[in-house]
Amino acid sequence: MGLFAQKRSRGDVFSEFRRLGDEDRLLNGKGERELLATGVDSLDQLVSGFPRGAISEIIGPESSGRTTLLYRLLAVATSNQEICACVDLGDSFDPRTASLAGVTLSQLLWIRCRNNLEHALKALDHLLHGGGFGIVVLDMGSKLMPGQKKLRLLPSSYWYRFRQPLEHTRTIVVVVAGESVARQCASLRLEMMPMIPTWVGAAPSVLLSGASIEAVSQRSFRNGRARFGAQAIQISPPEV
Amino acid sequence: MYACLYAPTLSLENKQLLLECAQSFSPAIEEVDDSTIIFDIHGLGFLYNRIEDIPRAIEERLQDSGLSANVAIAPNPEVAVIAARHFIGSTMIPERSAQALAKLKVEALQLTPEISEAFELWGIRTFQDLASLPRDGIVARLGHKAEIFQQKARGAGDRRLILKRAEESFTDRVEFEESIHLLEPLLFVLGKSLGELCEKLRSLGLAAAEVDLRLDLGDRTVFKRTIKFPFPFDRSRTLLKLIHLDLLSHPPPAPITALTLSLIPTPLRRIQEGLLVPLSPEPEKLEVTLARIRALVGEKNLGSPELVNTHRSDAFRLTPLEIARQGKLKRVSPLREPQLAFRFFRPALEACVSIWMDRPARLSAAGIQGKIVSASGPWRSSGDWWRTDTWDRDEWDVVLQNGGLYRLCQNADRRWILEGTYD
Repeated sequence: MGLFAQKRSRGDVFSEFRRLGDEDRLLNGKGERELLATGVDSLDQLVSGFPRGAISEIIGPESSGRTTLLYRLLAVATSNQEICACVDLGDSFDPRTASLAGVTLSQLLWIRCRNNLEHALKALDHLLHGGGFGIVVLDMGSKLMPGQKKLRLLPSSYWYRFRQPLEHTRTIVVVVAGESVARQCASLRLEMMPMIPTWVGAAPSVLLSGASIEAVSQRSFRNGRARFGAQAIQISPPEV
Repeated sequence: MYACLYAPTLSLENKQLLLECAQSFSPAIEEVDDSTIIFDIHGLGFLYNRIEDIPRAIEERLQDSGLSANVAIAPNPEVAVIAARHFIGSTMIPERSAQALAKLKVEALQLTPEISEAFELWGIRTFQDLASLPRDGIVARLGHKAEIFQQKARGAGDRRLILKRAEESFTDRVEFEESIHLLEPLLFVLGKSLGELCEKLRSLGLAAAEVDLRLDLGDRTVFKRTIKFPFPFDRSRTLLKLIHLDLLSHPPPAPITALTLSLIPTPLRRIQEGLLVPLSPEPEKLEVTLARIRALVGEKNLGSPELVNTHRSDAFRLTPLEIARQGKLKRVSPLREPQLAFRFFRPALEACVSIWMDRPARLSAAGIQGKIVSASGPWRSSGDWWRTDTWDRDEWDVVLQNGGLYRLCQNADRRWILEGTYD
């Protein structure tokens, strides 16, 4: 009876904290985490930024704006002169759109794992133990990647292992995937909804001008939705 | 006491002989210029009964080598150089050197134009004239440089020799009685050699910028590996780990009979880190991390992307990640509005497309299929017509019924490919 009462009271405290704010503060007994704001007003109002020293997830289907948000975050970090790394499981990184989105490519380490999940996880482990990176991305967002089932079956112990060297550092680990893989180890989870493309011109001569993106926050200080727009990148014609 | 040898017209070979002659008397040698060498002769009094015997011994040694040079012995290096350059034959300057140099012209001091002009105006012609001037007055009028010239004219000064060091070698060779088949015993030997070489490097204030490893193999071939570092290291453990990781990814093809390890030295890094320095990995740790990942994914799959000056889709090259120090990086402010990103399918997917009214109406590719509800295009793109890998294609931005936004391309050979997705 006493034990049951104790569990119940802990559960109550958890739900209270979940309602008020970050669960990690209760679990780790730490104060406020430092956050890296994305510079997107609506999103920063909702989640204040990505927590440093923690794992964050950007999940959603293809064409939902996950990569747009990721490049934005990398652009903010590299503009602060931080060195970032991208462990690219599906080999889908586009340096051109990343550069046009503001990412300083010379400060980005790109690791192409060519669909080898074991290599990707080991590379992430090496990067976290090496330390000193501003953002380390694990990009598992390619739908066509073979072994999608393996991602779901990844044991939680992997993510606890990744979370451990992050503590007391300023590194942000961002996992991009179709669905949540880090589960309870993620301090912030943003679920991206399918984006709505916007066009200019009259049919049939239309031009892609951008997209409207919607993010739903989970496991963050404040759960809710944020909408923001993204411009389509127009590559200027070559100079003659 | 110091000795100076001055031989103005010497061939390269004779210059070496002059140096050897000086080295036969003292290890503390300074090469002032191509024709002047100073060396320390303190302690030679134990070998020679009288100090006058020393210049004679030097002259004899020069004659044996077939050289002719002015020899000067003086209490300090500056006086020795001046005496050797301006007195022919063998000169012995006593403790009171000002008197010996008194008659020399002030031009022998290699004055600066301003000071030379001032001395000309003041009527200062000889060392004696300059030595007799009050020190404070000279400093007040011509500055500290003029004071140094006066000290030389007085035969004073306490300059130390800038010693010429012999070329140091950072190479170690180990020959094995029995050939080594496994990496572990090889690393054990490498660790010992690296420890000694790194200790030597540290004692000279140097670090290794490059490691050359040469392995003599049992099949009478030589296996060479060169590892270059973006930052110099002087820790043997770090170097051993880097060599270990390199040998893991590039193992020698046969048992090893001998190893030759060379470290290419470079001066140590001196960096003043600040409190507000942005977050970046430690160079030593980063290099080990990169080596570990390189061994895992391969050399071609790791690096910093660099754009190529072309409109060809997916054109980039990978360059080594180099961490610029603070102040060298360009501070870039992020764009105000997020930009729509793109994800490539590598390799691009073969697609089957149905056309309706000259526009794509239905798409089918591996894992992706559906009715196209919106399409923007065709956007023609071509280039590099002078090369064999020219490209010429029509691009479409298409939205499928399920909401997926893709880039669809039709090549000049009418084949459709799905290049990637906007995400």
